[in-house]
Amino acid sequence: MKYWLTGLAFIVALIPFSVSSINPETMTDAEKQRVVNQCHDIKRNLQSLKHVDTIARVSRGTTTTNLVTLMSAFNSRAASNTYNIPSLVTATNNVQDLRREFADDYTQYEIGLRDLILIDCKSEPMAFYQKLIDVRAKRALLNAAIKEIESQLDSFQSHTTEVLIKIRGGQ
Amino acid sequence: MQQLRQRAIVWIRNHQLLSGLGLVVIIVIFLTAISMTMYITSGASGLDLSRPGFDADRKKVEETARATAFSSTGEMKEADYTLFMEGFTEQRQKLKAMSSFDGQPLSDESLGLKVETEPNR
Repeated sequence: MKYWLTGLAFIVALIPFSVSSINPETMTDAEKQRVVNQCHDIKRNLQSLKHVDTIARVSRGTTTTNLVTLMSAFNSRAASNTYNIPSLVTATNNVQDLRREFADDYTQYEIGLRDLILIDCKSEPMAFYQKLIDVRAKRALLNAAIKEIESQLDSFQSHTTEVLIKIRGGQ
Repeated sequence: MQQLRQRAIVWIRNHQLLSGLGLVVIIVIFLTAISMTMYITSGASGLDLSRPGFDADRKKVEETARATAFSSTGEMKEADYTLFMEGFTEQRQKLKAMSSFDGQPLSDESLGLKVETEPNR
């Protein structure tokens, strides 16, 4: 799962760079100057993003934990009523694994963003841009994990109807 | 050197309480440095909403954290299923309303790095 996500995130991360992004290895003077000129605003934006991301990470983590708790309780109760649906357990386990991966990936992203903010973009525009690309790739991993969690939640939700059918059937 | 060592031992023997307090302070500084290093490198500092600047956001997060309880035991009737789905849907809606960590905030456009006159590479 991790490798699949990494591969997907890498492809997703490469798409925008191949069409519009600056190559840090061959930055022109105009591009470097752009980084230097915008340095103050970029730093302010990144600080603000760091703040917003922290809240989003904590809220997302708490809500996903709530969902896993609900799903586990539902699975246990369904099983104790002999409504065994293996797909529900699989989806719940997948969400739990993905939640852990998301937390690990976020730590790496947060450290990357912190390091990026510490680089002096006025004196080191190329190093700054190189690090920015690295942080973008780490953020793409988070986005991919979120999409995969959503997909697993969709799968869980669709399979819960099987329990409802069994309840109505009195099985 | 030997004389200096001897004098230090004599001073410690004569000021045992003061020496003990000094040792405790050194140990506390050492342990605090270790825990601070772990706090920062583990990423825990990045998620700590008790830091200054997060006061207003803390309440919002606490409100988001509220969830409907669903018992893992007991009979499973249609009403129980409906109750579960209400809680599940509520949490999913909250999740969908949150940031999806898309690439837009770090794009060249958002950071004002797109050089309009340069051809795309």
